[in-house]
Amino acid sequence: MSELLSQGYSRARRWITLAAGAAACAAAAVIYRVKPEADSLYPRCPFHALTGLHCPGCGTLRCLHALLHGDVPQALAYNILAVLALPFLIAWACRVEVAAVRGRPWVGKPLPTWVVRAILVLVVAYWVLRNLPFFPFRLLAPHAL
Amino acid sequence: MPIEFTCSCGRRLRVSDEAAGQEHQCPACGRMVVVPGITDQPGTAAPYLYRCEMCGGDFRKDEVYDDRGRIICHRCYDRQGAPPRRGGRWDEGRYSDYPDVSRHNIPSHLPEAILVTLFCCWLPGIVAIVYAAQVGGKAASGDIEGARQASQNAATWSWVSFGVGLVIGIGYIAIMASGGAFR
Repeated sequence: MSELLSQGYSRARRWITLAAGAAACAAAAVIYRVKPEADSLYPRCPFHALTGLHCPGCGTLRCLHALLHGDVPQALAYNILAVLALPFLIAWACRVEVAAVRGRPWVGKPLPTWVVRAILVLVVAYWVLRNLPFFPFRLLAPHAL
Repeated sequence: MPIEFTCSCGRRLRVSDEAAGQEHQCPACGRMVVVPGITDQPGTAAPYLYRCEMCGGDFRKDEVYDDRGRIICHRCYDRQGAPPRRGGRWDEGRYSDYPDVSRHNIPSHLPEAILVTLFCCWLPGIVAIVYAAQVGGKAASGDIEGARQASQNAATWSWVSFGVGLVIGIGYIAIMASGGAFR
């Protein structure tokens, strides 16, 4: 049953993980060098283009650009949720990449269910609130300082 | 020495004993089956091997510790230093609180889901977060099949979001690179 033996942590998944890590680093380099402006090469959010509303991910590119240049207040103004999520996502990515280098899968300790539900509520609430056109929610919409 | 066992579909399977305690897909029915452990005496059910959540290695039940809810091996337990070993040793009662997520290693794919929601395409990303939120609860209530399905769905929707984001991104760049003819 050689099919059975090869199932553990597949070679393809390992290489995809490593390639994704390399791609993320390359993307960070591009975002650092190229300023996301209205007329640049970057794609704009199709949801925003169609409806004029902001999605939870709107402003993330500009946010990352600001963050990579050390401008934390500007990054917060573009997408505060992305800034808050980033440390956790980076920590998670590092563990996944280390596991891939070692050739062993890594599954983190599962988060308590209420935490995961709270995150879900937070993302949806963020999406709604940042579209409200009055203070203080207007601050959640992507804006240049 | 290979392990021989029978899948619930009736197919007789033979795997290397290194696979004991791990999950594998049955080539006949496609279901995930846990390979039974090595038996000490013929005819007796052996303890499964447990996966250390720190180093990912496989260990026998008496070689792992319950470190505040995390199942880790004795070597990792020693390496992380300080906490005294007494009481940290395997505790069946504690373990029953999180039986299946630890034992079956069902990932919630929550980080991926959040990643694609904020960085790729939000709508399928939110669907992925909804599924990721179901994994823990279902596993805790003993619905392993449901937890696994939710985990699968969370992964699939994350990929959908990533794919949609990628297609839109490449399409947009292609239009811009072609001289903005569509503007």
